[in-house]
Amino acid sequence: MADRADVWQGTLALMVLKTLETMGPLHGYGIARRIEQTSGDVLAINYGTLYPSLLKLEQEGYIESEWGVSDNNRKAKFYRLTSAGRTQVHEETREWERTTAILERFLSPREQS
Amino acid sequence: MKRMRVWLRRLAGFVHGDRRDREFALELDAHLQMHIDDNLRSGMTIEQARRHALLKLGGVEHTKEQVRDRRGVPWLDTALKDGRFALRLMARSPGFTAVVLVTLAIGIGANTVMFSVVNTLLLRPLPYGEPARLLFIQTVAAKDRSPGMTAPPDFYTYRAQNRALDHLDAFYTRPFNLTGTQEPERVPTLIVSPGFFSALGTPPLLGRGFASDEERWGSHRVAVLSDGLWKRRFGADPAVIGQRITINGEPYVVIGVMPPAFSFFGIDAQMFVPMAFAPDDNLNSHSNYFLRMIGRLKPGVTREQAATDLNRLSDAIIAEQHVNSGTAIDVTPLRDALVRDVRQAVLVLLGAVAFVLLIACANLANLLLARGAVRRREVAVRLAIGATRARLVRQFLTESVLLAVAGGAAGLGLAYVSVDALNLLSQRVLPRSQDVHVDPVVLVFTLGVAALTGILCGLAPALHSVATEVTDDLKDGTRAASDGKARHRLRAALVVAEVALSLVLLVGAGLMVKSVYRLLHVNAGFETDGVVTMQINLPPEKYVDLELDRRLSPLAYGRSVRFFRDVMERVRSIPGVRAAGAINGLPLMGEIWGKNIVFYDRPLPADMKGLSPIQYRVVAGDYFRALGIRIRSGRAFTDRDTREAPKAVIVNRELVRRYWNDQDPIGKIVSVNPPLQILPKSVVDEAVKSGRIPADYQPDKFTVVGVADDVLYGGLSRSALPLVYAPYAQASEGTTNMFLTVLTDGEPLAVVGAIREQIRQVDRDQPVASIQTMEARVSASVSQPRVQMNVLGAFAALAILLAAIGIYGVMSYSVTQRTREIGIRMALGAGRREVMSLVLRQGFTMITLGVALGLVGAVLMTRVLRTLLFGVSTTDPAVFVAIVALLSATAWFASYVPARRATRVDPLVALRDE
Repeated sequence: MADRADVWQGTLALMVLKTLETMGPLHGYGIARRIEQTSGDVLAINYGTLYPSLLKLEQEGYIESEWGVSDNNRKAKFYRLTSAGRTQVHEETREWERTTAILERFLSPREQS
Repeated sequence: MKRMRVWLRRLAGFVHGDRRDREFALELDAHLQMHIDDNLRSGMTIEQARRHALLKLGGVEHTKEQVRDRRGVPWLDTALKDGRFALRLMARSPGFTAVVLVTLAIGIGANTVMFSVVNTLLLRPLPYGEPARLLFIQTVAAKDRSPGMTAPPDFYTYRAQNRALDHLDAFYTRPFNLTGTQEPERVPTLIVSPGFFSALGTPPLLGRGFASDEERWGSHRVAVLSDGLWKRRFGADPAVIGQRITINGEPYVVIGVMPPAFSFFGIDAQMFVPMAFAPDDNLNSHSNYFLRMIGRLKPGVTREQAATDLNRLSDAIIAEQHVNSGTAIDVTPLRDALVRDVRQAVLVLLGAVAFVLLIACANLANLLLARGAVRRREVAVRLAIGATRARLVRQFLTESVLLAVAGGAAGLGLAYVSVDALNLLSQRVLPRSQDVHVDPVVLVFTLGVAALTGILCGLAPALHSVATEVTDDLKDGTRAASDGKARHRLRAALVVAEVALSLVLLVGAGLMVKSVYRLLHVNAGFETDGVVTMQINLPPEKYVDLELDRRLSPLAYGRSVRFFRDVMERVRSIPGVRAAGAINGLPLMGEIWGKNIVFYDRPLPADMKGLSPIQYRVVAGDYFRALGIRIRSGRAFTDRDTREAPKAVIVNRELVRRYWNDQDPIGKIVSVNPPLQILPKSVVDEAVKSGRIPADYQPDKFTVVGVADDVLYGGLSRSALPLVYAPYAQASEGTTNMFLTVLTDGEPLAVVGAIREQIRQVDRDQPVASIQTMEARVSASVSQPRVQMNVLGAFAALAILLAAIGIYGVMSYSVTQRTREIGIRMALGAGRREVMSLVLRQGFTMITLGVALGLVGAVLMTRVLRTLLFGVSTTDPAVFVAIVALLSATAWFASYVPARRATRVDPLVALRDE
């Protein structure tokens, strides 16, 4: 059970980082919305699970936060990638691609030539 | 690295917890607002928008909690929260809190005090260099290991020939007269062999210790002062080194001053001089045993090896010189020798105080249980909204630990204060003159005890509280029957334990009380009413012809005899004085002078081994009448028993019983020194050759002229030994250290001034010391058991108080619980008496069970008191019965009050009140 949660948290974290890389600084609500959209509305997550993830990323130093004003003129807390975060995104993306490549080879039947 | 950063962030998050929480609340708020805005824009109503947003979020509180858990250091967070909650709870019920704190303060405080004592006596290292290797060495009787003293020639042999020790040094105490420009002063002095200070590893603060050649007669007139004497008489002048002083009329040079903290063996020594004997000094022979020794083990040598080594030497002396037969050498670590007498008592008291703590804990647990019952609903609600049981248990434990630590702090304060009081006692009773004080070890101990108490006491109630059925407790008005009963059983069990523990303590205290009473009422053989005593120690160089003394001439002590005769004549003439006498060793001071008796009405023994040991005293004046000692047959000494008169002795009844089979000994001839025929030939030849005894030496023969009642010279708890009294004027071995005993009409201390004046008129320079009424001396001799009795009694009193509180608490609560039931019964016609007996029946079971358990415990446990008791068996029925009665009465009274309250229940009010 714990492993699944960890993996999930890890996946979520990567999604957050990637979102921030693509979209630039964004508030929590915006990140959640964006993740939902990008995943093709397949992923129905509780928006609440985002916040512990954001906190962890901030503690690890991959993102930093700042209060700003949203589109609707509301005060909101904006998150932004740090340089360490940028590096982390690239590394983790590569990691994932490698993992999926390996799995692909295992899971798709292929003749050994 | 990343982990470090994370942890630091979390620590910061913990510290700024509140701020972060608020910030996050704002963030969530904004999130929801934005979501609602979007929802509104896509067409929902405000209700739908809000609900949708909340649903998508997944629970505001839940999210907040998740973040909070991650933000800071969670367990610290909860601990702090629990702590704050606990403090608020404590403040809200001040009565409860006060009772708990007082209970704990007493229980923990008492433990702290006792532990301080144990720490000082048994745990803290002695204030000497490398104390683990220090030994106390003494001659003992081989048969029963009873302690004795060592003769100087043997000490020198041991020192020269031992293989196991780095240092071997001897010591003894004498009072010396310090005269000079100031008031003559009698100074208790420790006379030591030169290596003494380096054996202990305690060099003087100023100047130096003794050099090894300073034990040679002639080079021995040097002295080291104690810090106290230096400050008092020499004005703390650093130029005191090299100063000349007069000791016993002879010129000495001060060569050192000891540091303020120095103390040895609890001996009040204010001056130190080297041990030296003149070439023909009788003291340095096998006629005189007065030394004790200390030693330091060579590295790598064990105590057992040292004992074997020294006993080898001692056996050789016995075999070759035909002396010391029946003796051996005993080697103990110095610390053990210091605390030997009180160790048992201290450990018993530590056990007793642990009992007090247990009882206090039982009370605390009871209180917490009662509390838990009251908070059932709170617990149910919290469980219902999602708290885990573990979390709740942790919170309850935090409460109890906090209470315990607070109580512990209060107890520490109590202990700090009472330790000062204890030090006043300890000066006289405990052998270490070091202060008992609260030090870091004790602090840690107290904290540990407090924390443990909190956890132990809180655990059962905590577990119990959360083991409830939620639904039952949420319901109004019902009481889960099983829960109430189980809780009550637990509380009752605690009370039973308390009663049992109190009983054990009370029995112990009761036995001690009886023991002290017995001690004080033992027939010591003398009267104390109106008797005052004082010590006069004449300087030998002024009052003894040393040359004659060396030759064992009876004329040697002529001047001392005259002195005491003059003094007593004068004192007798003081108005208010009924009788005056003197003796060289007062009752209760110990068996200080042992000799052997030779009977001339039967064949002489073949050698020294066949001699009969006795105690010996010289008396002057009207000693027997002054102390009210009855002369059973024959007569007491009179003024006519002068040196020229026929030599007479008085014996005590024990001697007649033991050596004359209770037959009348009046007129029989004895002597207290062995005739030459019995002494080993080599010793005799040596003594004659050195001129110590004339070739035709015969010991003085005495006629028994009276039999006196037995007097307990050795102490109230010892039995009388056979004893011979000789008149001071006729004794050939004199002493210059005598105790005046004066029987007065009224208040004994009133004539002291007059007595001192008379003494001054005989010799202006003669100091008088140790002025005490005989009653005070007797009291002082039981001070140790009395202190033990007081402390144990105090603990027992605490125990019974706490137990009574416990009983009251449980009964009172039970009555409250059963108010409705009582109301119903009364409405149905039950009378007050019936109600009362209904309530009391509950108490009855608890008390009876507690007493029964306690009796069993008491019988088993009082065995440890055996060595402390005098004249009382550990299962003394009178004491047991009395204590059971006392405890039962108290317990009944504690139950009675709530029972009476039960009878006052107004049925209408009771039935309505649900």
